[in-house]
Amino acid sequence: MLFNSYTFLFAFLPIVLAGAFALSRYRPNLAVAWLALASLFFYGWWSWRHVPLLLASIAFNFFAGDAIARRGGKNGALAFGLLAGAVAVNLALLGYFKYAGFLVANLDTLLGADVRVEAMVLPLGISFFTFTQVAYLVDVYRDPARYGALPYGLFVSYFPHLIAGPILHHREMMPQFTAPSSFRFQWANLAAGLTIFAIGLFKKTVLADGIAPYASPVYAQAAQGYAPGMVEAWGAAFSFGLQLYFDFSGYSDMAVGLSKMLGVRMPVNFESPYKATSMIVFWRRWHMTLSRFLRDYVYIVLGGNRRGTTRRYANLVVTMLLGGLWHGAAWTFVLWGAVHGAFLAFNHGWIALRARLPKGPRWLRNVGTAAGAALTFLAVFGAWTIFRADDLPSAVRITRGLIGMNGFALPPSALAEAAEAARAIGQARFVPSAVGQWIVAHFGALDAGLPIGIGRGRSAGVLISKAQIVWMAALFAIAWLAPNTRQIMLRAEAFLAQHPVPPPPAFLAWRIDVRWAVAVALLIAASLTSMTRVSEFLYFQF
Amino acid sequence: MEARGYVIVVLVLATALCGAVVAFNARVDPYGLAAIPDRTNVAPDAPRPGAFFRKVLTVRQAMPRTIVLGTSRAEFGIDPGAPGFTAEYSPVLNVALGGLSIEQMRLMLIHVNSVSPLRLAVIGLDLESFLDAGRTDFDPAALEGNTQSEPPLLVRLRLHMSREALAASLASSASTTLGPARATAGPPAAPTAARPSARNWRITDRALRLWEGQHGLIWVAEYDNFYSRMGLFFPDEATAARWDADPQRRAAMASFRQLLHYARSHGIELRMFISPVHARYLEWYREVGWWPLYEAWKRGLVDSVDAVVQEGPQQPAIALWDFGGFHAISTESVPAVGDHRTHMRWYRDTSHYSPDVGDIIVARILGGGVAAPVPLPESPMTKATIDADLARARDDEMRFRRHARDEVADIEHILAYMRRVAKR
Repeated sequence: MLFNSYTFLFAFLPIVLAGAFALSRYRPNLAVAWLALASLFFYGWWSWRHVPLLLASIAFNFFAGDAIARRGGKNGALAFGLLAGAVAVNLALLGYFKYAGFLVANLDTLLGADVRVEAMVLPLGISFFTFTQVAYLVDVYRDPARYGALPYGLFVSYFPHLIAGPILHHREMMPQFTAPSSFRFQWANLAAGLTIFAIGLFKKTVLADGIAPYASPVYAQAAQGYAPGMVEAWGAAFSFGLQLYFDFSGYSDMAVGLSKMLGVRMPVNFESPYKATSMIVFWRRWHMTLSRFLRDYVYIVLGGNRRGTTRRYANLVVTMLLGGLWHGAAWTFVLWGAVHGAFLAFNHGWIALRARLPKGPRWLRNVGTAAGAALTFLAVFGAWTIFRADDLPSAVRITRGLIGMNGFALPPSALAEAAEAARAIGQARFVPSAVGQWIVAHFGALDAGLPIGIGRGRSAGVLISKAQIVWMAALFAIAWLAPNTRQIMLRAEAFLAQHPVPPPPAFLAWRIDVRWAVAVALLIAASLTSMTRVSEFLYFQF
Repeated sequence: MEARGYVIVVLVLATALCGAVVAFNARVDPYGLAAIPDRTNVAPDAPRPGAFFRKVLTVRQAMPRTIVLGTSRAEFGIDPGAPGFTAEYSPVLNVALGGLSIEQMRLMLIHVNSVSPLRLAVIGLDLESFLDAGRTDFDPAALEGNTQSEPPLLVRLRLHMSREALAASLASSASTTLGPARATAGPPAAPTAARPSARNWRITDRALRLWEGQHGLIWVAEYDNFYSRMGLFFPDEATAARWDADPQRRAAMASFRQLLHYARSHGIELRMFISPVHARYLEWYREVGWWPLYEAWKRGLVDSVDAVVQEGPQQPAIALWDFGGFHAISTESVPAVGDHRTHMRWYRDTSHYSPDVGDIIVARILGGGVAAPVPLPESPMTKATIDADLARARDDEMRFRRHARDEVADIEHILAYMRRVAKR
């Protein structure tokens, strides 16, 4: 079931909210049980066949965690063995479903063994619920804690986060699940949650789905051997980067909003990542709960920055490489992770070098910050092409396009559109005739060399278009200029976050008044009228 | 304002806004769902939003026993009122749609059969529907009988609540209604700039002016079909000749086999044919390196049909005809550039045949007698005949190249440009 489906919005959500609120008035535990059951139903709606797998994973990790805690964690006998065994089982499960085909295919290529495995259906959210529980096991080992089976079951299966995160931490969530005030009906929670959900729904259904049609054609063509030019390649990179951001941050907002309606706060997952002035800052703002997981359970375990500079950079690359692999079993994800690891290592290296240089005047520092932002922007969007590409050869083809190795020329369809626009502007009444003539003379014949039939408003084969440029401009304006959801909703205290954020301009700070009520109603109406077809979230595949 | 008032205002206002959109769209009915004619799509609309939903929702109204499936070629060319569809097959519904992939056709077949048990499915098969991902507006949730199906009421609500429907409603005064149904026998009237809408197809003033008569329309159709698949051009000969060399192609053929299995297990008779595209279009196949692929595809179809037929009893029947070769219909002369008067008898453009050809096809595959002086294949293509069929097509193609030098030169000129753009 998708958050952006009528079934969820008009049936599942109202019933689940009503049930939780009603049951929590009698016994909070009943509400926990109700929500756990609802979460399993939510998961099973997609595929009942995988519900036993989810239940088995929850049961196994609950008992393993409890056994580790009973032995006193890291000080207890056999605790490490239990931890290692339990983590291995989790990774084996993930490996079996997610990486077995990839591994066998590569061995097959390497050894020519002609071994084939049937493609398996990836259980939805397996990466998220596995990582959530691995973190739980490691924490219980470090600092023993014991929970009830029901709250634990809800912690893992909690429907707002089950499919695509945010990746929850038990120390943040378990106290809330067992607090008597949770799941109680409160108008204030409903108002704040509804607003955050509406923002997320709008991001997904209007913004992300709006630009989605422009994001894919170049990647599809590149997968078939087409080498896109520079304009097409950057158009595809920008479109996909924007689609992914609004899709995933929209999902995260919806998750936080749903949870807030129930009186439970969830961690913030996105904080205007495209405003980042460096790669380090980018990763503090993009998929923040995954970054936190990778930092706490991979980077620090590898030694972090405690074993010298070289080792630190190597740890960064390895951590990000694993982060890339977490997204999927493909060399494109591995390469994308490695590239980001290299970016981070380079960024840390630059900071170390910069610390040894004189500080310089303020204007120079500002120029440096602007250059850092521009470089980060190009690096992040350039790397998205690797992430999105169907395979390594097409990633190479598009990357060559990005750096101009496939030529700079506009695609024919764009030339035709540009010429048509120039002719229209040149003949417009409001344009002085001398200017109009100049425009027509210089740009009106851009399509003269094209064979008749290409372009001229035809839709087929258009790899960059006016509509795409308008969409990109609008979404970049939002990503760069608008405050993020957490900032807008500061007053609601709906997000779990460690650090402060600057408040937004007063008119964009949410408050309970008629103006905001009308705005949120408009967002919801715009979203609902954009749901012509059910569209999945991009992160469901991970 | 209190939180309670805030929530109530939000929900009431959002509901009112959406309700207004639904009411407006239901009243305007921009997709014509309230009054779907018996014979749809003989002269289809220009592509516009809602075509997919319109087809899907038509099924419940028409409750067909026979359907026509396929891409825009079958959509344009196969008339549900064709004489070959005798009373025993009635009602007949054309649910073919431009750009459908074979997997989408399979889901469409399941949908129709779930709503109205079928006796016969006539399917126009095209190579392109085995290479492409299909229509982007195709929504399995709107169809019955699959894992994503939603209740029809919800589908209608979603459609009426959509901003696409709202935009279509607002623009409805400017939009056209369904094209003219077939009214008269005989060859189609030649379109002119003053009378752009001909009997079976629609050529607008603009198209005539811009595209130099029907030859211009042919260019447009060829660009639509080939330019949008630039990445597929000039495949490696070794892999092009082996259908299974590409995972997407493999998956498409698997979908085809599933379609055959579904039809068999549900008692649906299948009459399939490879679309009779114009010879010039087949020449495009050769020029862009698709000829080996075209042959491999035909072999894949025949193998699949043969495998399914071997598995079970002889009923319900499955048969596959190959009209995708060089014959009296497909080698019809193409009007010259700038010729506004001559109009082809059998083709709208080189990709789309006319309903007159459709009538002949239906008569041939259903065994009805249509007096037509056209040597289309008399019997289905099978494993026993395919080698001879393919060899003959190769010979015919060489003969066509020799005789239609202008057409070949025209294609090569355009292709040289595309080759530069595709950097291949």
